[in-house]
Amino acid sequence: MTEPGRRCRDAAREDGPAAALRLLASAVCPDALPCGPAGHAVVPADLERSCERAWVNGAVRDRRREEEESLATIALAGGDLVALRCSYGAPPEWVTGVAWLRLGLSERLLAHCTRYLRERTSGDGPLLQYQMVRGVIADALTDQLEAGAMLDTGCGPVGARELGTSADGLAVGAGRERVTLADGLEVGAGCPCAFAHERITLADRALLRLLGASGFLDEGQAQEAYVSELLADAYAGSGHG
Amino acid sequence: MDERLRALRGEARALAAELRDVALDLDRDPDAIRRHLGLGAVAMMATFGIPPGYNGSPVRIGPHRFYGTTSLELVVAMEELAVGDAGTLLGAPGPSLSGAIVADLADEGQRDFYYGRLLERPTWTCFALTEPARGSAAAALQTSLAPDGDGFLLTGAKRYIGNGARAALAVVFARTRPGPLGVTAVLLDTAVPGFRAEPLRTLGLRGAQLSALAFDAVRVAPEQVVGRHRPATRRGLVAAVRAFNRLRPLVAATALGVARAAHEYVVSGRRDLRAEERWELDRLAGRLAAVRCLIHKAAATVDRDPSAGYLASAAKARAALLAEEATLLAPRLFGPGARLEHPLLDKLARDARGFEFMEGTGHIQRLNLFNGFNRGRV
Repeated sequence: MTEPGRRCRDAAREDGPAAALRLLASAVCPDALPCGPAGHAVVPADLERSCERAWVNGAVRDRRREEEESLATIALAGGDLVALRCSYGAPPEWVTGVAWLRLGLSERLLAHCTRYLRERTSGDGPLLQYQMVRGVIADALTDQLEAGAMLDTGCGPVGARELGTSADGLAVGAGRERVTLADGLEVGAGCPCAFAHERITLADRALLRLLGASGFLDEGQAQEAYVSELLADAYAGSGHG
Repeated sequence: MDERLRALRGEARALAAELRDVALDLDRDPDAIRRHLGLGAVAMMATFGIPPGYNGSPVRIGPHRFYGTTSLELVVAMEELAVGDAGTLLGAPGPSLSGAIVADLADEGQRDFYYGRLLERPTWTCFALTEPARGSAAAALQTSLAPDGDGFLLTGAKRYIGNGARAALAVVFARTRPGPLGVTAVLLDTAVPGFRAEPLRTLGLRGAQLSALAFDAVRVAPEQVVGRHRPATRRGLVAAVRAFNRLRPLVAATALGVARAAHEYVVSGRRDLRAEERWELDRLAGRLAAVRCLIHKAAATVDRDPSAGYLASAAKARAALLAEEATLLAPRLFGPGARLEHPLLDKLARDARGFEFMEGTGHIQRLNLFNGFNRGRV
């Protein structure tokens, strides 16, 4: 998963969420609607319209649109996203891919914040000169680095199937509810990837605070950060065991 | 982690249990380590870091040989040993921090002297940079190395130096002239007139015996100046920065070990966890795994390029925080009075605070990371 994940991250960083979600879908579940643990999907509108099938617990089946409910439409510069509730599931690779995608969006937000803070002045110079601002950027960057390091070692969501040993021996077995990490510790299923999602959300919130009121407008990077949180909400679950 | 590093991890994990057995002993009496020099972990650290060519007895595990000369090997081993006891790990004899300067800058004569002493018998060393009035602002240090005849006189003071009071060998940073390029390092045998050292009483990591050092016109010969044949831009504080880059992942790994020790203590001591308590522990386990990933990435990066220390700064800052958080969480899960009823939990919480200021405070690490990011190096 790591290579498609990285491409997805790059696409998110460069082009935003809609383009990256299309790329992820084509890599992981072409022509199939991916839904989270409680059946929610957050996807580009054109992708939703074109999917005639859905991924359901390891099998692809025809969609039953009469059993789906549309919840929201979010207008983005790169194309609308839609959120809906279905009774299907998402392949584990989609959930990990969404983590990569969110990491790319977070990096995009960091780049935007840095440009903003270089240009915006307060007192005798740009906001970027102040140590408190630099500290926040460093903390957000560290959150991104942690999340990226976890994803790099091949951690991913676990379910009712064997994982074997990942690149770092991070997960050696899986059960329905708990997994055993390589150092013998047991955690709830989905914990490693859920943790990466959590770090990304923390990074985004810290960066948004640096944008002041402009981080509260329903447009641009602030809107993309909101979409990122919806993706985590739909696909990452709570991380509980 | 490849099979070779997993073998090292397994060996270190097995040795860590012995450290746990003496942890409280050394917390009460740091000098007690002299009774425990035969412990496998202590013996390992006594020569870990001495390179091939000098060390004829590397650590052997199956078909593998380990000299402890890469940051990646060291972070794997030190995390496991720190789960046993970080205080004993940091208080062990061996190259430790000073070894990074010797490996980077020392000439052949200095290496022969330094490694020879370490291989003769378990020998403590120390890395003396921080001064009473100058911690983060290390470039402003004031210990002086003044010309005197064909040599020098070393005068000044250092503080919070690990193993300082029992070190037979010391790498000491001093100033020959104003400005950051005027700082140089000397390799000192501490059994010389004018050198004084005394241990400080700390709240945690007592096994490491942080100490105060004083140099009263200590005579230094020209051949004791480390990196004397290198340009000023390659030695002194620049060398210290390269050493810090290599050492920060190790400090991070040690802090991670403390955090893990707290987690494991709860998992093995509390069988009746409520759902929300299990969730908190699971979350902590996830964070342990994430920080480990970051530490390994940082170690691999500095092994490739000793000047690329930005990930090391991120890893160290994050691991130090995690150690504090984990060791505050663990007693909470045992209820009121836990730190009194479980001395090891109290020790872990005291130890965890010691990583904040090692090899640079958290603020310095964050500023360092920002600078790397701002220059496009992260």
